[in-house]
Amino acid sequence: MQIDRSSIPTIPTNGSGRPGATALNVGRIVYIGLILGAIGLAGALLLRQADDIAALKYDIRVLIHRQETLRRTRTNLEGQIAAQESLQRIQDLGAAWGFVRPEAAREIELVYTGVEPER
Amino acid sequence: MRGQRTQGIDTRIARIGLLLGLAGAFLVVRVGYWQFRGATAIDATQSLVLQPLRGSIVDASGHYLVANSVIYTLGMSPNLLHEGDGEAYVGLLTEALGLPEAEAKLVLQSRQAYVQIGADVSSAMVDELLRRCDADDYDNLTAGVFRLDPRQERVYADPDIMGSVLGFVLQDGEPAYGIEQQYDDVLRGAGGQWSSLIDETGQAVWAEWGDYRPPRDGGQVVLTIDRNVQHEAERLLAQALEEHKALRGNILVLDPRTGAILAMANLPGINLETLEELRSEDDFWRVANTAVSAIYEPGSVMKPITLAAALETRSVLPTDTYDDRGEMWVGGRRVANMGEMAYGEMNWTQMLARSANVGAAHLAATMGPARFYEMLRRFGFGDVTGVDLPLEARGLMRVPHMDTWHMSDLATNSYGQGISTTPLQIAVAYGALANDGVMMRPFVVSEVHWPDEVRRREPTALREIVRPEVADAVAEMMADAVDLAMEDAVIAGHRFAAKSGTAGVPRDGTYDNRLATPSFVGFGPLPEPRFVILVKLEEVEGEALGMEVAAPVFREMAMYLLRYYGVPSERLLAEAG
Repeated sequence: MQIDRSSIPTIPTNGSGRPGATALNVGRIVYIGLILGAIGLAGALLLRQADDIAALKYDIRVLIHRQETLRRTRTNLEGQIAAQESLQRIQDLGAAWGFVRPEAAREIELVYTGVEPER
Repeated sequence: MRGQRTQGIDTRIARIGLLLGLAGAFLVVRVGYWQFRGATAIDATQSLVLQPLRGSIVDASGHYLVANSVIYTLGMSPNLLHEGDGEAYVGLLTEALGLPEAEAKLVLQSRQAYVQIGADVSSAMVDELLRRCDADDYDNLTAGVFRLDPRQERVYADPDIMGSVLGFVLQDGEPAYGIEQQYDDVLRGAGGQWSSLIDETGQAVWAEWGDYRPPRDGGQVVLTIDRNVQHEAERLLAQALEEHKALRGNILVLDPRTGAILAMANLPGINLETLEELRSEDDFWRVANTAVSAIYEPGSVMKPITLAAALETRSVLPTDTYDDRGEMWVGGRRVANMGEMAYGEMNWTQMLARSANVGAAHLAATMGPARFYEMLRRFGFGDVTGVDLPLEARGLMRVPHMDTWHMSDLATNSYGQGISTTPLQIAVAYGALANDGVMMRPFVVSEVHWPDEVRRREPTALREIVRPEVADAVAEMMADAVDLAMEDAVIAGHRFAAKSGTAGVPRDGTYDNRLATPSFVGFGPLPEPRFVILVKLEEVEGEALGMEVAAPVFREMAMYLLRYYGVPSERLLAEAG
């Protein structure tokens, strides 16, 4: 008896005849690819934005910190100015350099008598 | 056949999708865990209150009187040190902070989470410490194993002058007395906030977290007081207190045209850097501003006020005279001149020159109680002047509707006895006579400076007390009286209208004859006065007459003011035409 070859079960092929290959719908692959691509793109954009925001916030934080440091420096400088321009200190320095208080100085009234013209 | 194939593929894709979904869900759960569970587990936030910078106080020329500096409480966490780091940190603590080596080793060996190293560490020491730590930047929490808690402290340019005017700030940040108390809402500013992530040791982690609200620093307060004038006033007053062994004293200088106070010396005072020495109740009068808070019997410096009141109410004329018989009876009590002197017929200039109590009582009796006390009220006695300083006293004045008032008070009040005023009330009343009869509200703060705004205080006229011609007449009479009988107050080339006063010191319902309160008050140079000067010494032993004790101080102060502000003499003005 001759057996009809077409009646024998075979491993399904995708047309190219390669064993184990499945026949996929091209449209479905493109669809899934687009979905994955869109999700990936959105994720990448989100991460990029989050990264930028984090960097900016860090910069702001550094600036705030620097501002606080500068405030303290300014405060200390004001304190130093106050100490340096102390009236007592200035008077002591003046006395050391030989200056005297106005009431202790002799008041001299100078009278202009004119100058004899040269002959 | 074809349908069976497709179904198989779908099943596989679904399985892969399920696996990916599970992985994703796992990641989401983990992220959620760290986001919420993790954060609450370490309780990771700490809100820092950023202290505002308390405003500085400067004098009329812009010189700092009070400023700030930042100091730190420095702590350390030895438990965070690695093995073998100890030696390096011993060097750091001893060299940068000056800690004894044994103490430094003790700190490092403690292995505690926090050890306080110093409570008042200066910024310079902290900078040196951080430089050695190779930390070029730091905040108030993190510097390796160190913890820095900043706070500000007041710095005084000249801590031993005008302490009672400036006031001070207590350790808890609350102000006490003076400008610090009166202008606290301006000086204080508003606090900011800064939230941070902190680790287990309480140190801030360098990461963005929470919000930031900057502090608003306090405004800068500009005084009308000039520190040079103030210093001179305190110098002269200190000399006078020492020379006459007085308990207390005041020198007040104000500009009668505006009410601006140019100097306010109250001694004995306080040193703002050694406040801890204040202990006893007696120290209250060193801390308080006695020019506005302490009352005294003004004595004869009231006589020009009485004269102005009589002229304003037209009870007498400037050209009138009276017969001074040396005594007078008012309300059944005898009023007599000092030394039981009788001067005969006198005009008002002579009455001021002789400081005749009988003359002042005569004026008051002529006016009658209603008009006399109404005029005293208009001059501001018995009420606050409204100066921008705290704890201002009203003074004590009995008036006819009170049970305690007696008709004899009419006479004694006319020459400044039985009535109590503050030195500032007297100076402001004299200021009205100097300013064509218009009383100005006294003030010590002329401007408040904010970063984006400057608020200037305009002079405020309170009321017209007397007509300009009355004020001028009284001023001329006072100046003539100075020339006649107060040679210690005469200033060559300038005319000052002034009056001496010598009041008794009330003790237990009577006067202590061993003590006196001499004073000298005046204004000038005429005809356009620029200064009102009050000199008062309290509780001087012996025969201390205002004319002898306070007048020379008044003269010195006036001469300084004329020189300092470059006021030309009458001769120079006449030569200039």
